[in-house]
Amino acid sequence: MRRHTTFRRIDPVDAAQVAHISSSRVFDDLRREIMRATEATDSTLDVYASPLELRNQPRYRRTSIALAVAAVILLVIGLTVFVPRGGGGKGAITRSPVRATTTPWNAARPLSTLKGGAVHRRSGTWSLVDDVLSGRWQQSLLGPPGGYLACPSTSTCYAMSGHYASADANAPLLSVSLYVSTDIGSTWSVLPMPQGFHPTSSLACGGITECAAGGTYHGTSVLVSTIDGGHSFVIAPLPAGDGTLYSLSCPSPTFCAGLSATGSDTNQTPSDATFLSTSDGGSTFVDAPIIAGDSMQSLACSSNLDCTAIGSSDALGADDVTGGVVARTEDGGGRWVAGNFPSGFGVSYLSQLSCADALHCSVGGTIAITVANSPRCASLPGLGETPTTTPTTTTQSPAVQAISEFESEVATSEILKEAQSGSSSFSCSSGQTLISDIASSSNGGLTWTPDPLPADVPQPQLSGLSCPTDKECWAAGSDAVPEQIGNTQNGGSSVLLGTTDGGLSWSKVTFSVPTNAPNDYGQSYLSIGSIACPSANVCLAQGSTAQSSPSAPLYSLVVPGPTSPS
Amino acid sequence: MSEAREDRFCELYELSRPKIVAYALRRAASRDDAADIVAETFEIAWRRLADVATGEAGLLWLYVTARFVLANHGRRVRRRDEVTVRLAEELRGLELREEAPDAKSVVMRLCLNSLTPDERELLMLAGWEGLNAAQMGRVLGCSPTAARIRLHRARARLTSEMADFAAAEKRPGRVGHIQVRGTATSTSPQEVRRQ
Repeated sequence: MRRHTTFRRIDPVDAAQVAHISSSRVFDDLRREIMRATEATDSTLDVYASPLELRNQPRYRRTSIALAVAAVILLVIGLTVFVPRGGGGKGAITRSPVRATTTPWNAARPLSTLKGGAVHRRSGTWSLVDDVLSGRWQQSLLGPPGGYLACPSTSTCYAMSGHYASADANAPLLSVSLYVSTDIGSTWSVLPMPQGFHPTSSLACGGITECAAGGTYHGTSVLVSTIDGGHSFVIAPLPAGDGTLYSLSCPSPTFCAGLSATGSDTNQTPSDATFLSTSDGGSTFVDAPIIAGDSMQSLACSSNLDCTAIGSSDALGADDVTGGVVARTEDGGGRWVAGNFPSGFGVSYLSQLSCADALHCSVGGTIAITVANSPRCASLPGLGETPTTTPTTTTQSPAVQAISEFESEVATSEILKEAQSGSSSFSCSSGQTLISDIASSSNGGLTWTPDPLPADVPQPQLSGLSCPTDKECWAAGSDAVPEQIGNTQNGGSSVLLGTTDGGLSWSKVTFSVPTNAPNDYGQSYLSIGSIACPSANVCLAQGSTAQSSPSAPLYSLVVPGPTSPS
Repeated sequence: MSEAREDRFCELYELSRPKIVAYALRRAASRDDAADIVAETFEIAWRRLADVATGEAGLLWLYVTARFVLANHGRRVRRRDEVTVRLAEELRGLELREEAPDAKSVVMRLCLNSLTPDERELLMLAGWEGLNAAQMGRVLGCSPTAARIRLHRARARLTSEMADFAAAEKRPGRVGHIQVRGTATSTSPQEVRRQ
């Protein structure tokens, strides 16, 4: 909740700094000193004996009767006060506690693929095409395997990555690891996640040591969470019949909410997902329906009360991903109010939603554009220079249409440029093309404005979005600019976009990939998949790689200043 | 002493020391006091290891112990050894966020100080230590329900204090009036920030 978030901001202690200082040698000396001490008792011991037992605490003895009476009264008051909120209002069901299991504690192992234990290898910087934004992005060639990133503080980041038997599409997932960095991605440690856990949601971290992910555990739908930075995990089964968590958001250390559904449509959008939340690490869940007829697929909560969900309309069907739906709750899921995307702006299973606060959200959605084919397409049967058929799309609003026309020109221009350059590769389309666009909202998602993207980003496909403030947002993905890396010719490039004016203008980050960069299966620089920006001017992004690739490129933005780590 | 006992203490110590250091820093009057509280808390844990629960409950046990150590800290003079002095020096190198980041946070910090110690402790355990109701209940020696209700009331009190402060700010010719550490202070958030 907002109040809770603000309260955390007045915490005088930076937990990351404390974690760092706690690794100082003096702590080892203190431990040795303590253990060397004699077993002699001292007079103060009685005070501390069994501190968890009330009978040893005199003030509780003195007031035990009064407290017992008060407890009954408070329980009644508490139930009156909490049930409507915690219960999520009309239609919400609080599920009985389910049995959770906790894994044994594991020590972190440094991820040392390079000499000295550091995993990163700096390779120059990225620069921004436009001078709208400050700072420089650092590019690291080696990071942990590609996965889901989450950065709960300006220095601490986690990556949840799977290890696959091979790069084949159907290769089995062997295990999942949690990678931890306390220096915004420079060095990493690795911790095992429960064997048998298969994530189905992204990783969400509500605190520096508190993270969670939805998935299945030996086939059972679960929420896996940690409160000690990944050294141990609690595996909490979801309530029966609620399906599996597809999207998860944890705005505070103790509260997580997700979208849970029993199945998905042909476009991998979960069907009729329900809003599932927990305030106790998965011991109990509150299950609340969202809006009938809508299939929500991505969720962002800025507090325990304020959440926004986006998805698609069941009425439109799975074939049309250009007609999105959105809903907002201000009471933790009890009551949902439908918002409106501009017509022609849709949501696909790749769409990401990020809310900097209760009011300011951005979403990576889908719009349809018409791209002229390369002249070379004329030689192919059934394909001319102008596509003739169109996929199912929703009629575009004037704002979406303006962006669609602009993006069509940008894409066509790039294709013609490519054809003139004599490039050996070209692509042909038989209909309209679906690209990504970003829309911004300043009222929690009730209404949205589509944002114009830069002219040097043809056919953007965005899969990562993170908005640390109401003005600053970063988006990651790919575009259709061809790129040569070593001997590998890519039809597209990785893309990072940023805005510092709430989406009115976006700038592209440019970079070059060294020819000797690790590039497993030639897939490491096709796209950037995940991005996490814990505060203004601090971001970490990770390249999408082949699924068995041992490492992924990392991109970090740290602008020196009061918000950057010391 | 058995190897198993040593291993157990080492594990507890490794797992919980950042949290106990943070707990002490948030509440102690000085870094020296924080170092004392950390050292004494773990000394007690070592001596009473048989009483310390395993797993998460071990950390809660340490919070309870640290709480009592803190409460009793002013009543007696602790014998400071060389390691504790070094620990205090190490903690002095830590940058605490003494200044709140914005006006609202300044007011919240002031209002937090105007609450009762128990209310403050609840809010800090929930907001800063990140404990849930059940965990707070164990630390404070009450049921999870009681902890939840007390936390709700503490939050309401904090909100009310902040609303009162804001209302006083808006009144023409008046400035907010708030009790800070036993001293009546009349000030506005902007003035507080400059202090």
